[in-house]
Amino acid sequence: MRVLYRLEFLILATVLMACQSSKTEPLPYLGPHQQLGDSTVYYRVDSFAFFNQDSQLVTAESLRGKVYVVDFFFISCPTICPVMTKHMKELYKRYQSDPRVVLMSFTLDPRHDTIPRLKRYAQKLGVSAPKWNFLYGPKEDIYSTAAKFLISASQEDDSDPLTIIHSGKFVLVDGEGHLRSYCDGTSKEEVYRLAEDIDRLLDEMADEGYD
Amino acid sequence: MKVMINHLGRIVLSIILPLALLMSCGERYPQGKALYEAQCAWCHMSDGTGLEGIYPSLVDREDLRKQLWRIPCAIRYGVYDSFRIGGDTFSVVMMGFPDLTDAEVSNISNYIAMSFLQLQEGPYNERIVADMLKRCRSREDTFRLLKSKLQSQ
Ligand code: HEC
Repeated sequence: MRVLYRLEFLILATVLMACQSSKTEPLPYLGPHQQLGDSTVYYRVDSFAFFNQDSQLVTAESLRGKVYVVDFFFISCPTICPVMTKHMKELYKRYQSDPRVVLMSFTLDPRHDTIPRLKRYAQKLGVSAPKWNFLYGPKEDIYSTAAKFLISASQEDDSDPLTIIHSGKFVLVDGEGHLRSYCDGTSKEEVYRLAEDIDRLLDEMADEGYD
Repeated sequence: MKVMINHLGRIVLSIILPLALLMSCGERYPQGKALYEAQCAWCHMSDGTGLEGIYPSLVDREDLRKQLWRIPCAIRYGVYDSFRIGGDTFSVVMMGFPDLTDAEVSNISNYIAMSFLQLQEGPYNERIVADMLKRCRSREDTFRLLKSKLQSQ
């Protein structure tokens, strides 16, 4: 019996320690790495340019030093998008007063989701840029940008938005365009976990002297 | 052996039974709940709260409580709004679900009434729903009405 107690104590202690160390450990770098001599070059997304709902150009460059969350959606999406948008709005509220955090929702249906429609959608939702950008651009650019963020998306019939198939992932990007975390944007629990990762990334950036 | 049966009995009584009871009391309309989850929760969310500004909440809606027919009508025929895109097409605000039977519509409506509108009893059954559906405007009627309204403007 005594052995058992001791064992329990040990397990408890290990768990406690594990919890603590996970707080300070940096988030991983996702995507394919490259080894150049001694140094590792981490995968990053460093070039894109789209218009947001205010017709303002948002580029990878303009987001340097910001932490941003990316998802791909379309307004008439009858399945997973509404709950993704609802969870994005939770993040919007949580980081409303922190200018370091930006949200990016790219439309997969630019044919119907024009800039004025995106603007109206954002207004109805009660949100605005530059905190939450709804992004519009040529279709090929949007789908290739999804691939850059390691989010899968495709459309079978160009004229029918109901043939759009896409992942509900949220991807977390750091100040230099590295992908640092992701989650299933349709799951409330996973989005809460992503928010913890956002906080960790902000701590990390504060340590590195970003502001 | 006897001890085992005893144990089993206890497990059933103390864990499984209360769990089963707990699960069933929230689910007077298991088919309604399942259909709601599969067809409606995408927009109105599992907890009925919707997406503010885009998809309306169904929780504690006094207007729906007072006009119970609006739920089966919305399910069968959808909800329409009259804004104009180009010529004179009408935008569907919520698509109807014409393939659901009266019984299924009744079960979903009861699920909504009890889970979100906080009614103690489900107010619908197949007969009541059939009657309500006869009186709400069909999709074609709505189109005709909207069209004449637009033309007279
Ligand atoms: C694609 C998204 C979507 C889906 C799926 C959906 N709804 Fe709706 N629903 C809406 C929208 C949008 C409105 C608001 C229409 C308006 O502006 O009045 C609405 C309105 C309603 C209303 C209120 C009607 C009224 O008279 O005001 C009810 C009740 C309702 N929905 C029930 C359901 C049920 C039950 C299902 C599943 C069988 C369902 N909805 C599926 C989007 C949806």
